[in-house]
Amino acid sequence: MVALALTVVAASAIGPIGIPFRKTIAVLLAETGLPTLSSFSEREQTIIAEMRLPRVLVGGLAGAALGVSGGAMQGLFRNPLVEPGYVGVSSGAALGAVCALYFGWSLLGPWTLPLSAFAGAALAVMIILSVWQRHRHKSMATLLLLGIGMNALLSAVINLLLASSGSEQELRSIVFWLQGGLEARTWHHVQLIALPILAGCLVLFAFGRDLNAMLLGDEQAANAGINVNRIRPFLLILTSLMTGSAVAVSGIIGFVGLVVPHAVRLVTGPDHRFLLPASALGGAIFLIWADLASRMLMQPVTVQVGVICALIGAPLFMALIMSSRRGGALK
Amino acid sequence: MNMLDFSGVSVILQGQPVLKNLNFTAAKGQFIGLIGPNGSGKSTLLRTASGWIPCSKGQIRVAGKPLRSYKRREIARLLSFVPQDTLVDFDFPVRDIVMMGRHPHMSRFKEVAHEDRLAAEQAMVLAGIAHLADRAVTRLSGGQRQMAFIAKALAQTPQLMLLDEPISALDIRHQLHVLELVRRLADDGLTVIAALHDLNLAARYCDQLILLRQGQILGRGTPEEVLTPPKLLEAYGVHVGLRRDPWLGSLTVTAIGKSSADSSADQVDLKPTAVSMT
Repeated sequence: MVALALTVVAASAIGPIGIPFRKTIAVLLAETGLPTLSSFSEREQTIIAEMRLPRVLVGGLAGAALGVSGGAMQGLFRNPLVEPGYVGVSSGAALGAVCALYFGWSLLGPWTLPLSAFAGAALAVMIILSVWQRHRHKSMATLLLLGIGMNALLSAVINLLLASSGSEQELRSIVFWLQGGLEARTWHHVQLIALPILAGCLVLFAFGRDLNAMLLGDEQAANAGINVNRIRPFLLILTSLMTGSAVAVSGIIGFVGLVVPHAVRLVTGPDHRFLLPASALGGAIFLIWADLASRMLMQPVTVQVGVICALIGAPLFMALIMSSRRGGALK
Repeated sequence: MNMLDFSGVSVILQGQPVLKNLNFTAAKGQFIGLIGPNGSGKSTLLRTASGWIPCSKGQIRVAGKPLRSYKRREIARLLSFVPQDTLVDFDFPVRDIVMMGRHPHMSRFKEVAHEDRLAAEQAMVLAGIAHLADRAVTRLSGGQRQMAFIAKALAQTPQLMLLDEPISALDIRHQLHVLELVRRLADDGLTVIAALHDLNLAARYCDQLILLRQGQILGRGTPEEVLTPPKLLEAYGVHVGLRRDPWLGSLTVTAIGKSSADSSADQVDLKPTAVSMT
């Protein structure tokens, strides 16, 4: 929590126009209605409260959602290579967003792009889950394979739209969205995702013991009094909606949902009661720093945060796999 | 009162009948041994009793009420199941594994209660693994892991405990440890049903035996009633000699030899297609 607070302060202070930490803290305290220790100018207040803070908060919320969803899904699938996008959420959101940009809905208002991304995510997950429920065995391997199929299908549709895109400008905005970015995020975006993500986190945390018991296998979980056939779809839908909320405002950001819970597990062990909150915090901190790096590294060019996440995340992931005595297996 | 009551229970798995019209009861405090050749339906019977496999016909009652009328959580407070394969892939400490047995007694939104911790500690002491409480379950030997899962089942404070071949992978010391523990618990009122392969240990520790063959009950009663040469020949296709053990006085079975080739072929579970090919 302390690390998260420091991260928020640092990420609000650092930027093309640097603002001293002391003043940043003063602005942040003033924004939350607490007494301030030092004065600040109106310009500093505008930069922090109107431009940087919402971006930082969107990054933190999205990171938390991806981290905690990744942790929960890796447990649900009993597989450390799963990330929240595997059941079609990310590609569904991507298709929703691409449609909004392609057909020009995004010009109708600031809410249409995130909402159609979210609708795409929800739709993709619902389709996957309802197809899966029809399968005789309803095994997690089946679900994973269905998700891979769905992802391939939706990517193909996205590529189809890209290929037939009318203008250079449109193409550029689609590609940028697909790379994941947090620039120009406003308080609207914060409002849009804060409730589903924070509430979702709290609900997920309450299922830590169930997820632990489910790691021993479905039968053991059932014998411990867990209604696996009800809890698992519920948790899948919950994590998907949280991921969908995150992706709706940030675009596709890979590796956070995969690397963060994996790295956290090396420290906390497999116990979801600690793993899930730690993954949420870790995801938030990781994404805020990655976003900061994306703003600062190649000034004045801004690199998309999704690219930075993969740049940092991929080598880190490989290093983790190599150094872990279990060869990266959740086992 | 009967803790478990099977009446006319049949189970069909993937189109194949696995259990056929089973009738038996288990009274409070009874230790029942489930014996029979591989593939005779012992595991399926236990899993049907635990509610994991649904029965296709007949009715199962647990503590007087139909199994189907219970919620998962309610049944988990009455009944615990120790699986045969207890390999764990996750390095939870033994104490956490045992605490998982408390799950049906705990509230989702409350802190772990003192009585839950106490039940888990007591279960570990009973199973003789209190000294292993902080060790990762992945670093236990097979016998120790088995005891951890028995401790988990005990922490569940059930009235009925089902064990699937609890001693098959254990050395003789651990075998005696498990069976003596189960015997003691049964004497204190726990009802136990355990699938066992060792007929001598089954005869020595169980009150009753159920002999299964191809999903049917071939014999049921005291070890003396069930372990007869004709029944064992029919079930296993093996000629046996019976005597009283000179040290323990319990019934002892000696496998003398397989019966002639064609009758032992009866033991092999031939699929209908395989039959028509011959």
